[in-house]
Amino acid sequence: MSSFDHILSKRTALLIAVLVIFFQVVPAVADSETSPMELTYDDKVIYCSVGPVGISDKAILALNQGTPVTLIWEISIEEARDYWVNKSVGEVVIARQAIPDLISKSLIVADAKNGISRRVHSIEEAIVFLSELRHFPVLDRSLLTPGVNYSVEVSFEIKEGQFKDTWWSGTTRFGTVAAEERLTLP
Amino acid sequence: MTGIIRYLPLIMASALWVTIVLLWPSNTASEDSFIAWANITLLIILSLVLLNYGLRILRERSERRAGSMLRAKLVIALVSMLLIPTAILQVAANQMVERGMDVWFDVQVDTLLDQALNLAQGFYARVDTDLKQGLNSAMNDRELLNYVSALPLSYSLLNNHLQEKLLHEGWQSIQIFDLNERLVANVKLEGLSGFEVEALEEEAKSTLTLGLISTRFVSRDGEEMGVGYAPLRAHQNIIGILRAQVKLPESVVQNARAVEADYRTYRQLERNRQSIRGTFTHAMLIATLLIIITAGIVAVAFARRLTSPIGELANALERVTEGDLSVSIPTAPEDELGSLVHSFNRMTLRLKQNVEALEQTQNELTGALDSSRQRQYVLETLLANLQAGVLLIDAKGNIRLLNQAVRELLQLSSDWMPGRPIAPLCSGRLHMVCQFYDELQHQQEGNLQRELEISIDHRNLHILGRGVRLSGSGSAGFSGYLMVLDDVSSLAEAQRHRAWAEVAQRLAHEIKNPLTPIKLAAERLQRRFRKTADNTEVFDSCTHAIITQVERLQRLIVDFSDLARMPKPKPSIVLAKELITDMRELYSAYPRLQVEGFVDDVECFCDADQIRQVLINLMDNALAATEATKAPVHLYGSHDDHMVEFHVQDGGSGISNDSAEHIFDAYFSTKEDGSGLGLAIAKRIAEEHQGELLLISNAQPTHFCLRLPIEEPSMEPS
Repeated sequence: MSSFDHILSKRTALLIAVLVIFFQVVPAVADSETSPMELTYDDKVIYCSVGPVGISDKAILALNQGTPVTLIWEISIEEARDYWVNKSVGEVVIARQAIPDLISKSLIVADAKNGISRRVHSIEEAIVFLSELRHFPVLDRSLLTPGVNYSVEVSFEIKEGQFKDTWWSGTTRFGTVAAEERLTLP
Repeated sequence: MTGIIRYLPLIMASALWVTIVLLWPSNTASEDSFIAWANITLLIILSLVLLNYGLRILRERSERRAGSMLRAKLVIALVSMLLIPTAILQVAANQMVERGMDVWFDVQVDTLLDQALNLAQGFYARVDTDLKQGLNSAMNDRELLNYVSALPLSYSLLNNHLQEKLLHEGWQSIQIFDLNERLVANVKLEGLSGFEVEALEEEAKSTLTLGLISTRFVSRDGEEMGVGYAPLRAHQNIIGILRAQVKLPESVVQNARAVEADYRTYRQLERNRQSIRGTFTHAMLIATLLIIITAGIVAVAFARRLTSPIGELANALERVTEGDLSVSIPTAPEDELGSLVHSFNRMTLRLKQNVEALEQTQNELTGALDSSRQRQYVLETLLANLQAGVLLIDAKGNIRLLNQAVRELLQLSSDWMPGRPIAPLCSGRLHMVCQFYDELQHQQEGNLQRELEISIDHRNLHILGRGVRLSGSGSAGFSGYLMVLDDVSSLAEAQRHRAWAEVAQRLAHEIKNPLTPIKLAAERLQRRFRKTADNTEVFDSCTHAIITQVERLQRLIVDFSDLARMPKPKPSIVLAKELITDMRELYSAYPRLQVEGFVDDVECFCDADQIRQVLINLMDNALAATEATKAPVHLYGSHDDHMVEFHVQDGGSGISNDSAEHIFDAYFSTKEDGSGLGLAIAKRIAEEHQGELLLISNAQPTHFCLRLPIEEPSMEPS
């Protein structure tokens, strides 16, 4: 056994792993303030309404100073299980962004996933667009089993700059939980 | 210093933990959180490694693994050598960034950018205002409204009018739509190039709904244009919508967008000023940590490579110290350490060979020593059991060896011991020994033989001294003198006895024969011529004298004969108290004689007649010595396990010291009419019984002791 291997013994590696997990867990549970969420459904689709969530002063300042702001919603639906970790049913990521145009003193708000955009002429409109989801289709109802408890969690993350959908973006996302709700279909 | 080095990894680990606490990322600083957490992770790993390393060093303190301390010093020195300049570099870089940011975010730059942006915004606002004014003018243009509201439309008139309006306002295009959003008229500055028509936008619908002018800027094909909508009314009713587009100058647009981009970037940087500083610090820190970790790994590998032969050497030396000389280090690098290892191997090989040679020599020496000790033991035993006294003197005149026999023979004091010079010890009665030694020293020949006469305890010892000069050579040689002293008193006395016995026999034979005729003649003369003698008195006196002297001579001859022809004793078991009883009865007439018998029925092995003769001789002498003073004579007996003793004491005048030395010599007498043979015969009888006759004290009282064996002694052949 080399000296380096000896130094990084199994015990040390285990301790490092525990510390890393600790660092990962602590920020996620630190903020327990959530927003109201409403889950509705029709014959085919499950809809979600949540927000508004608080947009930080820093993000508003960024918008005022011409920097695009992206708010990434992440809606995850899991089958709730009592004696095991929940089973993931689906996950929806919505990226809403506001791109200020300082010259024309307007903002373009857009859904970064589907490219639909419109121009607004006030930051307040842009903030409303960013911070709320209204009757947003989340999941096909056929994916859910009636009578089974599901857990729907909505988290969000505010980023300065435009949305860039990369393969690693999901791994580096540490969102704040906005709302949690239980769903049981009849 | 070594103690500090031993604890240095733990101290550094503690310092790192403090650093971790200080650099713990805040929740708000999310932009550089990844690099911050990476730093924290690296710091934790580094601190754990240091903690582990420090604990290992402390643990090895008791075990003392060879080379571990040197390795630790090397690693710490190498890392420290890199750590110090890196830390200084980081501090300097942080300072430079701090200063640089103060310069970058200067107030003048800030103001300049604001003004530039305001200028760009003013330009766009001016275009927007102009567009709105133009649209307002168009929506109030009666001629235009008439053309639009007339049925059927006169497209040529309408287009001409719109063309004039287009040129007048400087617009890029003008389109008129009816309420159903169908294109009614379309005029473009560059002319019509196609029939496709852009759909109305949200603003157009609000214009139709609200009847207000609306404008917006759009970006199309890399160009920016101002688009405006104005309602066309006829009789208070909206009958259509006019869309006008004005193209912004490309250079102005580029500059305005550049200003906007710069402003945005500047503000973004300004907002992230702290995080930029933090990012830079973390980037520098992560670089530093990576350098340190890399340096640590390299240092560990280097130190391990360097100290491994040293550790092996130390282990091997420890084994050599413990006596294992078979140790050898098989591998060695091709450098100075390798040379050292090879030298060590050669050294241990030579040591092993030397030790083997030493062991062989030791075995030989041990064998020789054993042999020497055996010889010494034999010699000492021989000397101890030797009847002859042996005295070894070295060349410096110091005693090297003397056996027990010489001590007993010469009655040597405790001063006679090895290492003492002999000269000061030879005084008084022992001066003959020194004379013999001197003569031995100064004579030419290597050996010497002399007969010495030494008086010890009132006895004259005849000692035959034989000396040899020892001349050794070399370191093992010994130079000195060996003297062997034999007590030949008995032999001399026996020779003297034999000589005197022969003389006595001859004398007795020669004298005894004429004495009887002389005595007979004298008696005859006395008988026949006494009456005829003139002077009877003289005659009687003379003849009586002749007869008396002849009788005396006859007794003397008898003693001579007895001495010469002493019969061999015929010993048997005799009760000692009977001999005492015989003496008491024999001398019962002497009231001053005090006799004390034996309490026990102790026996002795002797010829009773001869022993009685000895006791009578001693009693006669004692009584004669006390005749004048009537001093008491004391006869008593005692015994031990081996010997029976008969003691005769008298309170007479005693024997002078000179006489005492010769008291047992034949023909030595202190009495005028004594033959001087009584004590000599008595002593001879005692010695022939394997006993002895001793003069215990020569005066006050005069004390003789006759010692006889209780059991039959083993007779040695004479």
